[in-house]
Amino acid sequence: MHVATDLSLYRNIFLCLVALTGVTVSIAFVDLGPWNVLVALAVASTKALLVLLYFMGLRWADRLIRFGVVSAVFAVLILLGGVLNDDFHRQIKRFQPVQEIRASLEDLRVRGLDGLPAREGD
Amino acid sequence: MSASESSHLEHQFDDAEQQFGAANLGMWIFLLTEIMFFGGILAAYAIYFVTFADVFEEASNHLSWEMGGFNTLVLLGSSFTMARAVAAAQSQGRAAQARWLIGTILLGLAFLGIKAWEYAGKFEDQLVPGRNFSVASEFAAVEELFFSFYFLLTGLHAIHMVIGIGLLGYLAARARRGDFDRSYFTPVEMAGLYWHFVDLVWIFLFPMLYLLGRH
Repeated sequence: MHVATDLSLYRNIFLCLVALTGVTVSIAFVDLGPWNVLVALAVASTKALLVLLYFMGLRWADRLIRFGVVSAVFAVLILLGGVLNDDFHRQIKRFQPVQEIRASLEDLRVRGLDGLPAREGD
Repeated sequence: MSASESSHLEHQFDDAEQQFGAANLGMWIFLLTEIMFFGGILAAYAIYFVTFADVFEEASNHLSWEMGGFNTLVLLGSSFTMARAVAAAQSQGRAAQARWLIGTILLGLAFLGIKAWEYAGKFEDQLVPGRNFSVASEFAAVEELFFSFYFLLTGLHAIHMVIGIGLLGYLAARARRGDFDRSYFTPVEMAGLYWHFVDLVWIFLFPMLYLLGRH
């Protein structure tokens, strides 16, 4: 068998997920500053863990499968960590301030591509 | 070995257990690539969010958290019925199996219906990136960027759901025919893994898209 022997487990997990959705929504209306996003992600991760462990049966799965899932999540965390770390510590920002972007986009809209200054050698 | 087990056992496998293990591993590897696929887009989203947090919060408030929240509940419900369908495939008759699968399909269709309604609203409110995009904001270009992510992420998610509903329809027909029992239920369990994964993606999309600027 690849399922819980007691089927009420699924209902209980579902109710937990509904409750956690309520938590997500109510916390979103409280101003926690930068913590809002982090708390929302923490709650979402808890919900994801419940889905993985019980609905997807990771709790009863082979070690190989569990190891694979942990590796994939770890890879995504490396990606996020590396990318955000880079972004936070850049001296020269890759992104222009929004005003500049807006100005150049407006410019593009008004003048079209033909209005762009010619590149060298064109 | 029961008659149905032997008829489902492909010749390259020693026994049903090994055959299931192979299918399971293959499905999980596919899902791991999906985690990294969505992870990559979420990383891009994260960069723009930390760069333009204020504007993204403002843009996020154009979305209806009530609709998103309701859809979250619908999708969680469909995951519940899917889990019961997998259990039914192993321990219940064909009628019960088909019932849980069809219940999952109906909830999936409900989700897509609400999503379509939301999309229609976005078209009406000129929030679809492109020529007609228009918001009364100083940073309209950045809001447009937010909506590009919104449509990319929810669109990819919806495509996954359409595929999932197709799979479940096929499985419901097979369940009704009596294809699945204690000795063979691999397709239902694999479709279940896929369906739960789609639910899992939405669990992250909902707070990241709908709830950014509510505080």
